[in-house]
Amino acid sequence: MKKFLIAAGALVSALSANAALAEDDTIKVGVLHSLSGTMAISETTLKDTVLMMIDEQNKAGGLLGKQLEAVVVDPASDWPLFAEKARELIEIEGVDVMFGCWTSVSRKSVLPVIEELASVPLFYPVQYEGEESSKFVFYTGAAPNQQAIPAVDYYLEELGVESFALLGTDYVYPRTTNTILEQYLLDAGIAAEDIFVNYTPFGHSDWQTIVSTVKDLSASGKKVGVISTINGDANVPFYKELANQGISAEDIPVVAFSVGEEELSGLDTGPLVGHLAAWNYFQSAEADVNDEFVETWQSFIGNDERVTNDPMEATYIGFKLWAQAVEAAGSETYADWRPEIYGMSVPNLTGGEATMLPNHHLTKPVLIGEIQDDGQFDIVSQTTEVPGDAWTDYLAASATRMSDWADSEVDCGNYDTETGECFGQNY
Amino acid sequence: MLRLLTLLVALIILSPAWASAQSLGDILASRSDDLAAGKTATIKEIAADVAATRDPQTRDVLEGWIDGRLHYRRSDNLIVFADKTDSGYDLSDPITGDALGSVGKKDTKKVKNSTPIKAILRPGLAALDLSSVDPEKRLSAAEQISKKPTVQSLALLEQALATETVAGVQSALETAALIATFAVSDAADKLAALETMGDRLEPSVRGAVQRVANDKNEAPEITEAAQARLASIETRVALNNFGNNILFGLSQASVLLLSAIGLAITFGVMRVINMAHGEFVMIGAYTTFVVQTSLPVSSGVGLLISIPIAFAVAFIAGVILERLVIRFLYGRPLETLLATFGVSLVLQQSFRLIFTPQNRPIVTPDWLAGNLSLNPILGITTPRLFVFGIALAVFFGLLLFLQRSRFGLEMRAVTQNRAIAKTMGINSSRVDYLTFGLGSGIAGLAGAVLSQVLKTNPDMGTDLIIPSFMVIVVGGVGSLWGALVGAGLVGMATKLVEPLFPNNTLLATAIILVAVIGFIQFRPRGLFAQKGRSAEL
Repeated sequence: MKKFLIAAGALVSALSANAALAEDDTIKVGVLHSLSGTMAISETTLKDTVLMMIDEQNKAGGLLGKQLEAVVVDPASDWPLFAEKARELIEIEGVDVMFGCWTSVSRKSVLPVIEELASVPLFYPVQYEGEESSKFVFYTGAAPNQQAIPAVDYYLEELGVESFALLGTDYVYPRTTNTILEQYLLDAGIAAEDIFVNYTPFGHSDWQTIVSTVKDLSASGKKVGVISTINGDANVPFYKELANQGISAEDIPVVAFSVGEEELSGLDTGPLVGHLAAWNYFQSAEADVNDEFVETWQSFIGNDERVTNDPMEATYIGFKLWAQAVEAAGSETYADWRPEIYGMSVPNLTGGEATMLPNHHLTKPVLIGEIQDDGQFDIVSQTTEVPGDAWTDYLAASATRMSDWADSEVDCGNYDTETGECFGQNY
Repeated sequence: MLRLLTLLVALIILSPAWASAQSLGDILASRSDDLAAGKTATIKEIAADVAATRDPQTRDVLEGWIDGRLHYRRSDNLIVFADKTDSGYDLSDPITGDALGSVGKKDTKKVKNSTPIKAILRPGLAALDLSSVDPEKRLSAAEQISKKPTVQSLALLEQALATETVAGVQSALETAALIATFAVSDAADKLAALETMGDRLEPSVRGAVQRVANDKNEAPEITEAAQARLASIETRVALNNFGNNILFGLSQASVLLLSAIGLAITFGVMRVINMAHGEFVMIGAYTTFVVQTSLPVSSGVGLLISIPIAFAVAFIAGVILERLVIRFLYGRPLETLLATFGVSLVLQQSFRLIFTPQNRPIVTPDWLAGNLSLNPILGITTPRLFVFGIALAVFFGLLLFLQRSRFGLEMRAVTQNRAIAKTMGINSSRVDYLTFGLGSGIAGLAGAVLSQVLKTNPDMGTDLIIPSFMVIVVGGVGSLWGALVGAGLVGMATKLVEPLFPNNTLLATAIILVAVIGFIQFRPRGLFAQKGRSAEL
């Protein structure tokens, strides 16, 4: 019996020593992407991207001499569950950094948790509506001025569109983006009656009425263009209806902010040739670093048909920046590497540099692509890098606000330049 | 005659063949570096130059450029025609047609042909195609010219009209000429056109008239005439739009009927609350995808073949589900609900793992693509017409089967009184699994057909289950006719309410749901309530 106790004691101490060893030897990376439910369609790919980046980093010797360890959880496209899973990652798993979220509502649900725990930041890799800058979130996707506004400029200048249909899914990103765009269009001299706005529920499947309404807009004698913030799988029946009602891109172009290569792989693209998307990255971008990225991805996933897309590039940039900042600070603790990351740059996959700004947004080139029949985009317009603007200049309420987490004077995500004060909540 | 003569003279003077100094070959050779450099503004200039040439090859080059066949060779920026092969491209000289050998995929690149560039190339091509021998080309040329009419193109249109014999092309030419008249002609011609044009419904014609009406530089009598014309078109437009909404409603109703009719059997007849019903529809849709990808070429028959296969696959899946799970739960609706809900989650996640969470592309075969228009406003897309036809066929087929066949009789006997049916020698357990299989099989068949208008991903079942139950409950549980009327009511109501809230489709959906709740308060058993003893089961 005594012998047994000793053995048991030895075992326990050995185990705990092992645990302590594991704690010291790895840097834990939390992955907070839905692997089931409606958003799995988009987010599963990003989980794989983070795993690929970790794999690459570990092959190259890890970070600070430690191996990286992924902790993957599944918030199941359930917004409140995102908050719980974020808490679990930080408090129970003890991760050092998190990559995750897709929809804005999931990010908004995580925000209170990471603000409260105030120790672990989130890299958020998707284009979003702006009007936010948290100390604990790095927004590596596009702000409205890096996607929506340049796309509208392309419509106005290159395609000569005079009448706009803003179609969106009914939630925070399309609503905010369309509010900004409406104001921008009014400022550009488009009459209010030439702006048609429509919101549909998630997963909307019957687009007959809306598509025929858009078709009939051209009876106003003006060139019509559609700006789509339709999100998720509602795009499938939408594009089908568009194709069957015979709306060609040369008559009524549609520019989408949520449709990329991944989404196109699920569509019959033949009838959609020429319709547009605006992103900061397309797989078809010609750059060596991009070729290498695509190749690594396809070999990691074991399928040379798999495509890459914009949120994947944003994940790539976020990961590289984080690794670089940790390396520079010599510590994986957020408080240590946070000052290092401001002004830090990594190469974009489309050429040029992505620099982390003090407002936690990036500099990004804006690309507009036309859909081709092979499901890739033909890049028809590319700007130089545009700095991301957390607070849009086109809405009166946010024009005077700015965010600066590097300047100790401001040190705030919602600084009002007129009153010289931060207001309300932290984010 | 005099008019025609002046036109001809004008044509000769204005015709770009004389205006352009450079030949097509010169342009392509001298500006190849600019074409390769990809600056849209420069390429637009070159496109205008190319469109203005009248060399024998101009037509081919314009068409090739629009279609993305015009490439430049990366090694020396030589402009070539590139035709896709398995390993890369076969190159040929666009001017001489000489073959220039084959190259790999990355050795050439398409000369930029974005929409703004196409907008410059198209009118050039259209002007040439107006005299093509192919009536389809003449037709599309007429439509193309009407998009950006000029004085020259109006002259071309009138010249083409004088010789055109094909009726369809003739009317397209007339429409194009009408639009061009409103854009470029003098006041007298415009006024005359406004008076003689009649009430046209084409959005493009209405747009042209609207532009005249809005034009502040026009004489007041012209803008007034244009406004009068628009006002007189207005009623017909409104009437046709209403007709459209009815068509949309019928189509929506057929989609609902098709997705609910399997449930009318499993839930309506067998009283099994089958939460996995949507997943059987999904099984059917994925079967279509598998059939489509396993056929050697997209021959267009894939869809037709997959309809019976989808039925069979879902039938078998339904029988398995009944034997393994549901038969132990008869008469326990809550447990059935939970069990089938669990099955639906399992099915969803397995399809997500097998087929990826991404939507799977279902190709619309050529014979089914497009739309059937009665006039420029009123019309329905052919895939929807197809869904409509199948929905009715399935409905009446099923009705006939249940009323006239031996199995239909046994099935009705078992649902009405199981004990007596058994004493009559009916194997009730066999009837159970076959009935459930039938309901599931029809759901699978529906999935194969609905994949033409809906998405095909693991979530499609979730989106279908609530409307399906709604249709059955509104129509009256246990009645096939109820399903038909329920689908018709819900579909029609949705499509008639939706246009009232053009800016918020979500609100329209909510109103329908509220209306259904209200309806159930007053008629809890639905429209076709079952009477008699079986209703009390």
